[in-house]
Amino acid sequence: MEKIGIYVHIPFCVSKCKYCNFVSFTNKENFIPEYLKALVKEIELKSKEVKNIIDTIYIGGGTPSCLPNGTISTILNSIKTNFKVDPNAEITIECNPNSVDYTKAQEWINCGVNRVSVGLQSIKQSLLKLIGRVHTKQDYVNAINILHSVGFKNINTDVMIGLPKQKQSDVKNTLLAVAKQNVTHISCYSLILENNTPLYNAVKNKEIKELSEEKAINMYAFAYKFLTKLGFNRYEVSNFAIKGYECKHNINCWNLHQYLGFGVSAHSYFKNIRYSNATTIEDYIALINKNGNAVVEKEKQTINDKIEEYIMLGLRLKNGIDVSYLKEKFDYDILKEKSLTIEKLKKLNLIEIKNNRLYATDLGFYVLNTIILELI
Amino acid sequence: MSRLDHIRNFCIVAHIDHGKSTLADRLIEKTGTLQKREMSDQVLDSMDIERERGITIKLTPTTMKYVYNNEEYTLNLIDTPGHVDFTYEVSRSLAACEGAILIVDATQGVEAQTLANTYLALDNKLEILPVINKIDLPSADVEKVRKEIEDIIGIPADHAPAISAKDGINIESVLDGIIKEFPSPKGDENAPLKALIFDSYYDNFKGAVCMVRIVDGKVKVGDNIKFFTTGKSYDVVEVGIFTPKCVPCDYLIAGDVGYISASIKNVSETKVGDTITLSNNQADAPLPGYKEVKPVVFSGIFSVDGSKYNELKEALEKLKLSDASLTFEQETSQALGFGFRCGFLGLLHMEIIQERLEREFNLDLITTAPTVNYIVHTTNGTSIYVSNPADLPQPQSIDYIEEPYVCAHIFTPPSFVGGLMDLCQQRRGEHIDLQYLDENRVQLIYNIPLNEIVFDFFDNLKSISKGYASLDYDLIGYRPSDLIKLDILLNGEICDALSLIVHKDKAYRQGRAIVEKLKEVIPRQLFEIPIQAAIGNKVIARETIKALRKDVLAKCYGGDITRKKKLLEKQKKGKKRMRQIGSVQIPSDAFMSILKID
Repeated sequence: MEKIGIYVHIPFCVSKCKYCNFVSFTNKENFIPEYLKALVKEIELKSKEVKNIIDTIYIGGGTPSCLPNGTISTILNSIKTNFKVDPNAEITIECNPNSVDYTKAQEWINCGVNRVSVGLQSIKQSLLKLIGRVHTKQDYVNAINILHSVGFKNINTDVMIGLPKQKQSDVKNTLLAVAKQNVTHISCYSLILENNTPLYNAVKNKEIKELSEEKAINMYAFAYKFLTKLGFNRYEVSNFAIKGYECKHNINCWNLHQYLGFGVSAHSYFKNIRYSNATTIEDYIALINKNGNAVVEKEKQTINDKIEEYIMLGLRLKNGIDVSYLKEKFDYDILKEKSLTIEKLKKLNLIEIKNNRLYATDLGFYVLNTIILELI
Repeated sequence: MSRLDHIRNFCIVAHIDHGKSTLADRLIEKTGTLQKREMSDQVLDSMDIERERGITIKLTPTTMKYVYNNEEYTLNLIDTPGHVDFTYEVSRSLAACEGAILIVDATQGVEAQTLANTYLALDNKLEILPVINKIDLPSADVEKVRKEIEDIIGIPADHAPAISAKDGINIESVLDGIIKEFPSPKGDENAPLKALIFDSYYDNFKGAVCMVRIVDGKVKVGDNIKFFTTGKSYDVVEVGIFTPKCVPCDYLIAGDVGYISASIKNVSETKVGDTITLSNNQADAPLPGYKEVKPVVFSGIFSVDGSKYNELKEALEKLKLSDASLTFEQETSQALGFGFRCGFLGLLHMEIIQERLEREFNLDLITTAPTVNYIVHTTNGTSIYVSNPADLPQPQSIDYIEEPYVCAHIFTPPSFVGGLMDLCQQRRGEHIDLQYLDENRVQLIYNIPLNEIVFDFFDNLKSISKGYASLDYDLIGYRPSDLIKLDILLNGEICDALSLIVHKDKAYRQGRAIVEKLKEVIPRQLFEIPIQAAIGNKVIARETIKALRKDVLAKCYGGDITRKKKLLEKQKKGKKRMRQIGSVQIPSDAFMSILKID
């Protein structure tokens, strides 16, 4: 039986960042006890029908680190009691620099967490303020020190590129500061202005000027080069890691492995069906209490869906998609079906094919969306 | 009084939104022709497009009964299409009437089209009953409009009923006016049959059906009828009147308005303006005024999905059954593949056909910029008609080219005169006259190449005049002109579907404007795309669409997949509306966009 992943969503935040369009809420902390109960109930009920071994767990948000002490161990213990979890499973928690303390870090490592992802974005105070982050550079350094001191060896840091007013020197300083903390993984996202976020509206109303495309590209190119020099290998569009420290949970998801999602707006992919849960805390709790599940959308994947998803997700990875896998598993010969497009993309130096794998080049990663559109 | 004395045949002429259909509805309602529950708004507008746009291209004729002074009268309302594209059809409808109701909007006053249609009605010796509509609106000024009608059109308006068709106010005064003002038809019931075809339509069961006004004689089921222009004969299967539904009757006789069906295959046999007579008792001559209608505007129509050529062909053939003025022949474009060169009566007609093809036949179309029919005189002494820029002979074998001209009448408030005169000058217009009709209204008359009119003239006219100016025009013939072919190159290759025939003096400006426009409408692609305008081998303008360098370097984790995929599906759909030309993907509306460059 295939091993599968688990994702747990924590929809609480102390404050909302100005670029964020994830499902997270501020000032809803009074729901935490009820939410926790619903979450445990969802996990228990699901475990009765799913017997697969769990090889990755990812607790994301929101801000999981802002939960009261003891909450994370309650969640993880519930998973471990109800599911069979691989002893070598990768277990990640997301946190904010200013909500990590010694007690929490100790609790996490004690209950089995072995990977921590810290959202930094930038070390420049004025940029942090611009995007609505409430921590300082010092908070970040303190957080990493605490995490190291309790024994965490696998730490990720999120940084953002292409922010309004950002300069290449800001990127360089941030990456240097992060690398200095001996982290093993860096996620380097370019800013996406999502509809109706405060930052999007500010740009739309011309209160803030978006960074020019040219500058954003050059900045990303710089970051890529700089991270490579620092020993971080780009294994996905936005993800860099020291060899051996790639995020297994996400790699599995890009390879169309199955996963279960628990919590508000969590998505699952199981037995060819994609599910998603209710998107407000209130609805989620009510549905779990009433039906034992909170699924509001359910979509069966056809062969065609799967081919498209495999291409769409697989091309995000450095080593791309496996052409023979497509042929064997889905009877789809992409080299034949898309021969003209592939020739064109190869000529433009946007993709390469080697050892039966089709993958985007460094240049191709910048226009991956268009490449995917041409190939599906 | 005789039978004929109790008949009135009339039409309604009006500017496009002055309320023709609404008044027609009220007349039908007042005379009890349809029960209220059978009425839908604007019952006589038969096509969806008409009802949706609120414009009337063709009304269904209607026979109504009305009692006046204790005597019952038969009132036949006949349609007049209210648009310049259909002037000939209007003239034939008018020829079937003795009177015309002229609707003038109490808030807008007389417009160019009102005037043009009134002149047509006067040419056909019709009695005119002016009616002032929309008196329910606060800005209505009935007395001012009365004066305008007298000053501009030159017909008395002191007795003109002031009505609100919308609210049903004073509708009786219109009905009474019809009986008092309009003469009854003349005609000889015993003379050989002369029936004027003022319109025809295609019915899936009956075939082509003629809408006729019987001028002389009588026609009944079983008669063998003959068409003057085609010389063909048919046995009459059914005759009847419109209520506005078709109601069969025993015969139609001089003075009547109704329909004749005779198992005729398509409407190109039942030409508007033709005369029907009886094979065994022929009239000596047809009624005057028949004219072959010829298309004046042409454009290439292609299916976005190249494999749907046959569907497009079938759709055009079906439309042709009911629209004799539509012409089409196969066209092969290097860029767009197989399609059709279609001919239309004008720009509105073109739009209607496109919309019907897309809507009724579910086709995605690419339409190339409209052109007109040029006469090319070659150096070897022959002359040919050319409407497709791709068919223009090489410059060295052209002696000279002639292009069609129209006489344009523009009505406008005085404040826009300057802007409109500039527009006409830019469009190579020849100033003929400028008349101050009163302190609020000016008439401009220009002779302008039709080519310039189809090149987005109307939209410009409306934007310069904030919507107040109105336009009407007549073809006045051909004139020699210094015309050349302007080619557009995408990524170094000529795209024939974007070529235009333009005046030499304007080629540079137009070439520049077109490449700039294309740069706007063609999305960036994975490589750089030069766009060039060229005359022969000489490039006169160039723009470059830079290569797309960055789309999205976002995250995509488990929870993002569904959303991301939906986005991708949407983009994929957008891509399907694009046409691949060489290596470049072009949105299907780019071909028309080059018109909108001023």
